[in-house]
Amino acid sequence: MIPDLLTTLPLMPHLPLPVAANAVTEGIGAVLQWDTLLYIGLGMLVGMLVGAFPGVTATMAVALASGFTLTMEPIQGLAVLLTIYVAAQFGDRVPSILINTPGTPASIATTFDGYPLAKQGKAGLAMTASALGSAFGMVFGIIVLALFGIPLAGFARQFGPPEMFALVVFGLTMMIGVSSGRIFKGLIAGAFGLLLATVGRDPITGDQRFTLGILELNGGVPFIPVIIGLFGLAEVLNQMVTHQRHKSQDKPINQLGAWWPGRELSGRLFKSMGIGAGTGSVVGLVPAVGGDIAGIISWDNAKRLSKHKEEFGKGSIEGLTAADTSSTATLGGSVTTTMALGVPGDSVMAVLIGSMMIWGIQPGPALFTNQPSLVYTLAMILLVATVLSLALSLVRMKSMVKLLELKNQYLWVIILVFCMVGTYSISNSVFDVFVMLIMGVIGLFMLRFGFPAGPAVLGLILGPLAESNLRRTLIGGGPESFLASPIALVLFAISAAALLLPPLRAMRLRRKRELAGKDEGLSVLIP
Amino acid sequence: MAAETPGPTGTAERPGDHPEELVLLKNLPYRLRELIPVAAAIGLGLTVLVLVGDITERGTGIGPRFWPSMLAWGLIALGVLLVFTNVLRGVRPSDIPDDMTWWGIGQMVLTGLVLVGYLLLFNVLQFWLITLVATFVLLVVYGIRSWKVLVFLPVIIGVILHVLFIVLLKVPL
Repeated sequence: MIPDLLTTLPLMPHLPLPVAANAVTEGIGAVLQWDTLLYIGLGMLVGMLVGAFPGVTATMAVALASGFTLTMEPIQGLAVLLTIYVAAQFGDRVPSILINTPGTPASIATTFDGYPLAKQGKAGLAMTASALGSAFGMVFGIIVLALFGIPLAGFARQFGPPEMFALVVFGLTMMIGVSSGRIFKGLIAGAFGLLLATVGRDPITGDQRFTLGILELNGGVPFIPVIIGLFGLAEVLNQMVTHQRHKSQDKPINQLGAWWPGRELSGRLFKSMGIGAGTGSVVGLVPAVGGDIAGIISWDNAKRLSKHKEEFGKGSIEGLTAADTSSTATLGGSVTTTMALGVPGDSVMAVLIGSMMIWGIQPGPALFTNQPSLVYTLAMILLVATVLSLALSLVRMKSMVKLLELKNQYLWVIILVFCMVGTYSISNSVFDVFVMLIMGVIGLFMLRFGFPAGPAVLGLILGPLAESNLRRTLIGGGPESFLASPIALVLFAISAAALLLPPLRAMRLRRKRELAGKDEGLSVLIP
Repeated sequence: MAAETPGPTGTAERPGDHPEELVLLKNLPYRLRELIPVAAAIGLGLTVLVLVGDITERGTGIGPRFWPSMLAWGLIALGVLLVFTNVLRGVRPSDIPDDMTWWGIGQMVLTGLVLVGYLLLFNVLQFWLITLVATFVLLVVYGIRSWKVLVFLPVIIGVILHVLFIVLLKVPL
């Protein structure tokens, strides 16, 4: 073993030590360029603002930003998009704590204890604990990326068509399984996305499909306009149609109180951070499960392990820290599965994959094994973004409170104009903007009727991969090929469990409650 | 899990509970409303099955029609399943969105008209000019009457977009 360790790095056993060390320095060096750092700074400002405005999600911001990052160099573009994501995870805690409204879905669990703490006059303390926890979670997630990125990609390189198809099914069902219990509507949304992906040329024979004689559709439905329409325009339209003319916006709490925790409280924070980081890292590795789910699971875990259970939900600094640490710790795992497997870790990563494909980078098993330095570039971008976001969070939080008083209408105008110009700038095509407008209306329909947009985007991105691998498998070895692959079988089994277990568990609990209700009724009748 | 947060319809949802566990709403209007997504799923499935006939098929076996047809049949099956889960059984409170307002619908229609007009004038008039006018009109549509906002916000947005897209990214607008 010792000679092996001297000649290779444990994480890159297939590479000789000088090559591996070169990958690390090359990866880090790519970020430490003044222009890349400048783009990280730009992404951080955008992300912080995005996070602070309720209703503007990180997915929406990354989708909008993808419009103007496509003309950049890939590393610079990735720096902007990833930093927006990181900074939004810090900024979104502010409205969660001060007006009980999550800035993005990732901070839903922040409201459980953040707002009660603010009502007790401890908003400053809550925001500091949240920022520290978020930074700790992020660093933990980055370690996961650095440790597992290349080994996971190496493992996935053994995948053939049956395994790749099973992997796509796994990614889609995981996203549907966590679509707030809307399993059938999630499946319909996923099928809609997969159907959109069939427009254009057939991936195997090259025959035209569903182009309706429109020349621009020969190359398929352009996915960035679809993403901007579904996540950007649709959200603004939904806010618009439900807007009440004379209703005033929620006023944020502006009495922030103390900012730094004492020694006793600091000890409790560290324990919560540990719970959050552990939970978030594991949850993040599961494709399509994002920070919102991780935050809630971690909040529950922290409560179970706490000596102060009674404080949870009423203003527990432990609950707040565990939830926020966990939701950011998912990011490293999410980037890992996205890049190493080509299956998006969450909806932001689905958007990111769309941009990467336009840059000519295909996320998947070959990416990290052919370009190991990219792992360290990504890790470094995330690290720099985290440090800057933490610093800005601790210094400028007071002024961010004022942002919450801005009217939603100003944001609508900014987002709408960015949707239009950003979409046009992708390929200077008016057709793309019309696609975006149509998808905005479809997205509004989906929002109003409970269809999650995430599976639709995932279906659009993964569609060609799913179809070509399924057909190759069936043409090559028939359905038996799936039965002959243990990896495919395991992935199918997990996918089936993700779809079937939540409703079965719910049915069991509902039946239990009904029986308990009957028992109570009987005990009243029979004294 | 003691903490309760208000759900989208004002009902209490407990963090961590699976939404399927909530009490289902049995009101007829809510359940009938679910026929719209059912119709959308089945309608889309049937449309795809009709359009699949236009795809050239070379020989028999697993060709370009196979995957879209499979997805279309899947959509139809899922639409039928929705009838059982959402129309006959009941609707979860979180599936009921906030009410639409006539004011909001009017704003959306006007927004659509302004955006289409804005798009059609791309490459026809100066970009900064149409952006200035479009943002001004949108702000007026949304009920903003402060002259400072009506003057400065369109100018700021116009300048940022001009610098970002035309100067830096060289987009031909």
